[in-house]
Amino acid sequence: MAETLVSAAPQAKAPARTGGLQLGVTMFSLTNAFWTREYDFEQLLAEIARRNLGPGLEVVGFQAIRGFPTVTDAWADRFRELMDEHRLVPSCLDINSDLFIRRTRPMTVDESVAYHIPQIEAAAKLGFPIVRYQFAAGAETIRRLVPTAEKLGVTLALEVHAPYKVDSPEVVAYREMYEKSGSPFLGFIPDFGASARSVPKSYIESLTRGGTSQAVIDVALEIWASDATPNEKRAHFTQAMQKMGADPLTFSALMVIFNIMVPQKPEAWLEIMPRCVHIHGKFYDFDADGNDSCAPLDELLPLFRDNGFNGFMSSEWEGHMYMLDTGFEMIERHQALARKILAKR
Amino acid sequence: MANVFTVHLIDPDSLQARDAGIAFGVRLPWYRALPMSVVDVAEVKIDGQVVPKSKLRIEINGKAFAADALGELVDEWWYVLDSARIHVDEPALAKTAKHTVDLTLTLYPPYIPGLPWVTKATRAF
Repeated sequence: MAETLVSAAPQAKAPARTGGLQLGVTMFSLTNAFWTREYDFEQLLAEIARRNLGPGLEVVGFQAIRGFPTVTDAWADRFRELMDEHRLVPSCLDINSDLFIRRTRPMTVDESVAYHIPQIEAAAKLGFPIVRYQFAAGAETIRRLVPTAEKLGVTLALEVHAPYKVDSPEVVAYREMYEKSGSPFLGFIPDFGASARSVPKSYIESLTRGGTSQAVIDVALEIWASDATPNEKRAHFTQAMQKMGADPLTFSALMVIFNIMVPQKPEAWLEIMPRCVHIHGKFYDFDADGNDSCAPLDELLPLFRDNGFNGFMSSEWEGHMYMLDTGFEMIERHQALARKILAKR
Repeated sequence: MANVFTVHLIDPDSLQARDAGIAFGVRLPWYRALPMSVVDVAEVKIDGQVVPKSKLRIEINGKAFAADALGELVDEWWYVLDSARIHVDEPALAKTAKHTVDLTLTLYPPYIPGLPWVTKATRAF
């Protein structure tokens, strides 16, 4: 009977999406500032407001909130107060699809559904209209969560993240389920790491400084740029590293590029554009001309603006993987670049 | 690869000597809270000598756990701002609080199967 319940859902009122493409920030970008205890959560919000990095504010539940997915009434009240005070708009709550918390086996669908529900409830409690979920959830888990999403008025949005692309089987499984369900509370969040032109030079330089040999780097970059599927790339890379005798640290540092960046033409997003509800403007640094060194922002932003996208792009700086900056200046530069691109018609 | 995790993995001024051995503070080298089940204290060296895992415990939320038995701790969370303490149960080390610690901590981010996240750091106390 679960089938009937899910497909009978369209009476749920569709969420209003208007306003075109707006800017904002995810607090993931400020991981360094928070993790080092230089800024606490409230200080980060104040600094985001002072530097005008909103209005969209995205929060990582398991980062910002001790004890997440439990959110106390006091925390929620204070959060809403701070949103008003700083004129920020809760855009998206990042929830996690931690199917592999047991090292011996993945969660069952029942366990996974139960793991996601309190996180979606947390979003509703804090006033977030969207939750970001991850590939690991599986289409069946998300299908079963549709009634929860509709009841709470929270859209479940898959982060379409590297190494997968719009037409990868891993994404197609969700696209098909979305079509069948028809619920307006199902969406996608393009992550611009899945529109990578190249691996940022500064990342490679940081590996070189750490002693990684050029030969190992060359092999990794060649495999990264190839047309193989993500699984094939990772297998090729693993074999090559074994052959070259790379140590676990080098292996781990380079394997990351196969998980966070993948080449894909900007136009690919058009296929899922009507379901795109939020954007992760993933970036690392800027080239000598001030352009994003990884994703072609100058092509991506007009594409979204001109094809009916309504929602926020969170500037998502992931350079903290290999840089010590707080992230504030990086976000400012990213948003200035985005404004410049969007001002051109 | 230098990031805040490698720079600050081992807490400064945190090494204490007790009768049973020594202990030092350690940060979670990841951007968000994780359950202890995906944490592996992969290697500890004290003054260049590898300590057998059976002599290591990790303390979080006021509880200490054997380092070789973390896999089941799916409900024990390490919050991202908290320091844990690694206990090295070797009485001979307790004679002094001056030691050099090499630590390799491996995380298995629970939504990315097959990506071990290795962080390594050294601190001389």
